[in-house]
Amino acid sequence: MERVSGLLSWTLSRVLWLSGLSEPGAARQLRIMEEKALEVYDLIRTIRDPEKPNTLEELEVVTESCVEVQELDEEDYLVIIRFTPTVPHCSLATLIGLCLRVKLQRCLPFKHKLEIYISEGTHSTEEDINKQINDKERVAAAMENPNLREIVEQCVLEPD
Amino acid sequence: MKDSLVLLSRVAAHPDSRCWFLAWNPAGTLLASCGGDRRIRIWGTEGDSWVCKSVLSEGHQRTVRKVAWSPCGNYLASASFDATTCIWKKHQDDFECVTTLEGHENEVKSVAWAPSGNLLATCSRDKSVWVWEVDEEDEYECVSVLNSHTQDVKHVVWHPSQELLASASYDDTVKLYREEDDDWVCFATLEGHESTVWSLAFDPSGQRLASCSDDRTVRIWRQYLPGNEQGVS
Repeated sequence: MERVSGLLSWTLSRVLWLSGLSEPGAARQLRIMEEKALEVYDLIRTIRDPEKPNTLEELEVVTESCVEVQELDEEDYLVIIRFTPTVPHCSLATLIGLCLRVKLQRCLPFKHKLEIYISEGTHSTEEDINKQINDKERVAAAMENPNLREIVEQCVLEPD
Repeated sequence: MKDSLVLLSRVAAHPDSRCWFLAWNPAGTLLASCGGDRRIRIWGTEGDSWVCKSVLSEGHQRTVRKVAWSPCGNYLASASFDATTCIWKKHQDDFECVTTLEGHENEVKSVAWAPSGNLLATCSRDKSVWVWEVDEEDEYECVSVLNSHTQDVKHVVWHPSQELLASASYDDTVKLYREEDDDWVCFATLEGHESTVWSLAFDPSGQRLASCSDDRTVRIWRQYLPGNEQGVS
């Protein structure tokens, strides 16, 4: 009896899958991660560069493929962003990292942990910058600096 | 039956901001919390529920990062991103800010009372650790500025029974300090962590020190005194 019901449920899931009504576990998981990554990208691509009058997307500082999302727990995700600064200037790279963090903290609807890195090989002091922008205490203190805060607010402001 | 924790209460402590730290008073009757809203809240029980007994505002202009009760339980020290440390005196259910310790160049990350109650330590992103002496008239005086770390100092903690101080830093090390010939000196540096060391704790005997780090490890350190059998220097 058990064997029959086992076979039945397998057949049922195959039928549903073939008709597009359900997917095998792994493929579905991948699709959810990709959708979440797109949600993240949609929020960060409009962030303005601190120096130039362009968005991070226009300057190719961020691209769709630079965002990765992994599931940590039920309804909790790890978001990893690897961005490419336009110039090897320390303070600008840290500023962009700050903008990315603040935008997502405020606008991303799902529970997440965020790791931001400079894409490898694009900066001389990338380890130093990565350490700073992933230090949650340093980021919080930086955002209490009125001058820095003003710049970040301008960069993350939603376009009209 | 496995030991487990049961959630007793959940309170929204600091509106729209992070709660950065919590500390039980020595008697275990009050809980102090501090946060991004620049306030400190004192919590106590009323019957079965936890209520806010006091809100300490007007002390700091930026995030309050840590709070620490004095060993006698009558004082509360608060460390803030506004570069100051406030000392609050408890008068029954109210707290009054009796003094503000200034000197650090930027954010104060931690504050700790020595078990004797006569010494206080603070540390900051300015890479230094300050030792303060308190006298009977509640006067505070800085007796030492220690510049051993090469980066942001995240946490300071006193040994439970000796006048020995430990600090944890963004420079990936833990440093130990004591008074030698009337001067505070760094007498040991614990290396091993591969990233920022965030916090430290001594065990009650003071023989072991636990440290935790951004490198995702917790390390336990043990002291080897001079002339020990294992030949550890």
